[in-house]
Order: sequence, then structure tokens, then C-alpha cells
Amino acid sequence: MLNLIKMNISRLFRTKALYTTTIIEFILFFLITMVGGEGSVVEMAGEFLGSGLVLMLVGIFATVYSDEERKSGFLKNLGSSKGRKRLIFVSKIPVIFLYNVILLIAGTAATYIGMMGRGAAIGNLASFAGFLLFETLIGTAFGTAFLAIYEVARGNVMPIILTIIAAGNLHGTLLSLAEVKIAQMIPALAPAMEAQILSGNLIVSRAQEISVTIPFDHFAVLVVAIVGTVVYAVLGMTVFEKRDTF
Amino acid sequence: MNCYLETKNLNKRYGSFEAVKNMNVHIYKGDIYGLIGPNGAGKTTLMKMIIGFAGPTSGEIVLNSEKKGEGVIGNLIESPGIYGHLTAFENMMLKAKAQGVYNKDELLDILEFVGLSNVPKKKAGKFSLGMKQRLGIALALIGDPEILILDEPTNGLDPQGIIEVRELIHKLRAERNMTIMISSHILSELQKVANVFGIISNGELVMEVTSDELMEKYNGDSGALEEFYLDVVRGGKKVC
Repeated sequence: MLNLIKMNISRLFRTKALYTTTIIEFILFFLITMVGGEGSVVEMAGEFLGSGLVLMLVGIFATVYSDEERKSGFLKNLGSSKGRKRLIFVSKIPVIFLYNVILLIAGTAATYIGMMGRGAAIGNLASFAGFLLFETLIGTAFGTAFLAIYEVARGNVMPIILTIIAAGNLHGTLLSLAEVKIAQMIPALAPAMEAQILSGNLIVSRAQEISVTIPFDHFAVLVVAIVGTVVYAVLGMTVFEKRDTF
Repeated sequence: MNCYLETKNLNKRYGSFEAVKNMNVHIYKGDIYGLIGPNGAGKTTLMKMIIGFAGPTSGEIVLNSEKKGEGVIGNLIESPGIYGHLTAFENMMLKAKAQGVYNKDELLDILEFVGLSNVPKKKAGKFSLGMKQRLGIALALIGDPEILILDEPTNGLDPQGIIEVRELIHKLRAERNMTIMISSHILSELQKVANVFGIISNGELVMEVTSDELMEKYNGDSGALEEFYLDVVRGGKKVC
């Protein structure tokens, strides 16, 4: 397992998608903060990093990273026993975690540089550190979901389309509308549905709650991040193991 | 003598299509086993099952290996699995790290062995087909496997490339006493490297024959394998 993680980390820094997506994010955040934006540096960075763009990049990266391994055929070099196949899948999750960290650091740096010379305050760093931690965890869950979705689809078009839809939480909006409709149709269910609302516990719904300035339910975000990562890891491992490699 | 690798009533079904039917292959330590058959006969499917890329529908694969775990079998199936934007060494390094056997000197030795030590900076995507195949074999050799499964390693190569791969296979047997299973459509070429042949047709192993038996049957003819193949597959004749 550790060997596969080491290989994946070496590979991460030799993957073009890492550099292209990080540069795109950096330029975008830098230009936006240069043109305008109010508040402290951490407030601005928090606003950008929580906007859904980072999640979208993570989903696309997870898809491209898996696809590159399969399309190039390099997967053939990694082993083929059942236990090994599970590890091959799981060993990509630390890469997604690391990629999240890189994106968050790059985004923060771009915001800071973009606001330099405007006399903006740095802001509450402790609150920002918490924000980054939870963003990383929820981003890892989201990326793991797309590692698994890629294994189901075994192509990159559908997962990338789904990433764009999911990062904007369109599926959450749909689910929320369905929940309202059900509650209207069956009023007896309404209190239970309000207490355990499903659309509010999606990975992206919880990601949207994470904020530097507004208090959020840390425990609920943590639970969704952990449960999401575990559920999608198990799904991905199972699909990867059960299906023929080639 | 016990078989080093044996398949017992191996079957693979894709929906209603039977790709491999009750196949019983026998490979002994140090053999170079040539697998012959028309396109779609089941050669690649058999090889994929031996490596573990595809699971058999039924039957068994027995590998009497001294080594345990991953790395017993090296493979080059269909095309070499390489990242085109990386150099040969970087590709090798990634595989070695994944197997936990990374040693720079050993990797350089393998590159030297396959004749790729003179292109340290060139990206693998810019390699000729022959160089890519040799890199594929180099990757297969990482971790010192006991058996190599090579699926049409001379496919698409020019005459020079074919000679290079042939010499490499001879070298592997001579210097490393490696057991090799190799498929090819170039029968004259296969006759030069293999000492046992298995003929597959419509997912079935029609016959296994040694090169000595072939030579005896066809009086040492250099085209013996081709004649034998035509006799068996087209004529349905069992000659041995």
C-alpha cells in the first residue's frame, strides 16, 4: 500500500494536469482579486475557495488522473491480484488529498498576491486554518467520489459532465425540490424529512456551508466528509476489483 | 516433472460468447512457449487470465512459483503500458516504486540489457515502435519475475525491430533462464525462439507440441511450424 502511495505521489508531480489546473486557478483568483474585492485576505480567499471551482477541478483531476493510468496502459504494470486491485484504487485517495492541499495553497497565495498593495488586512488566520482543513476533507471525499465514478464509467466524458453538475450542486437542488414536493404530498413525513434532510447532507451541500466568516456545523461536515470518503472508496474498490482490469 | 504453469479446464465467457473453452496448457520451467492461433482465437484472453487481468468463468490456473505475491509474472500484453510524457527511466521508476523494489542501478542495468540506456532524456512517446516494445519488456523485467507473458511483442515492428526482440528473448533465456509465454502471428519468427508450441483455435487448445517433435516430423524444415499450423488448424489434422 505504502509503495503504491509513494508511486502515486511521484506520479502526481509528473502529471501535467496538476500544473495546468493549478496555474488556471492561480491566474483566475489573482485576476479577480486584482480587479476588485473587499474584506480581508482570508475572507476573500475563503469566498473563492468555497465557490465550487476547487471542487470542480478536484473532480476533473480525479477523472483525468485515473483515465491517464488506464488509457496509457500503465495500469498493466501495477499488479492484478484481487487484494492488489483494491490497493491500487485506495492508493489514489492520498493523491486527491494532496491535490486539494495544493489547490487551496495556490488559491490562497493568488488571493494574497492579488490584494497586495491595497492595504487589506490578513484577517482571522485561526478561522482560516479551520476552513482550509474542512475544505480539504470535503474535497477529498468529492474527489474519491469521482475516482469511483470513473471506475464505473471507465471513460472520462460522463464523469467530467457529472463533476460540473455536482460542483454546482445541481443534484442537491433537484433533490431538495423533490423533498419539498414529497413533504407537500405527504404532510406526515414533513417533520421527519426536515430533521434528516438528505439534500443538506450531500458532500457538496456541506461544502457550501464551510465558511471563514459564518459559523458552520463542524461535526456535520466532518461526518459527511468521512462517510463520503469511505462509501465511495468501498464502491470504487468493489467495482475495480470485480471487473476485469482490461 | 511438475508443470511450472498449468491451466485446468479454463473457461472464459463474455455473455454468450465462449472466448476460452476448457483449456489445459502446460508450461515447464525454462520453456519458451509459443502460442499460435488466428485473430480472436483466445490467445490474449488466455494470457490476460494467467496474469490476472481477467477472471476465468471457471477452471483453475496453477503457478508453481518459488516467489510469492506480485511480481512473479512480468507482462507485455497488447501494447506496452507507458506514460508517453515520461522518459524510459521515469516509467521504470514508477513501476519499481509501486512494487517496492526501487533501485536506480538495477533499473539502469535493465535499460542497458534491453538497449535503451542511450536515450536518457527522450520521452517514451517519441520512441520508435521497437523501442517502445523494448521498454515494455524492460518494465516487465522489474522485480525479477520468474515468467514473462508476451502478447505479440513483434506486432508492428520493422525487420530490425523483430530481430531486436528475438535477440532479447534469447538473451533472457540464456542469461536469466526465464520461462516465457509468447504469442505471435509470425510463425517463422516464433519457430526461432520457442521450444514448445500451443495451437489455439476457436477458444480451444488444439495441440501442444515441442520443437523437437516438429523437427522430427518435418525433417528439420525451417518452415515446419507453418506447415504444422496449416495442417492442424486448416486441415483439422492431428499430426502429433
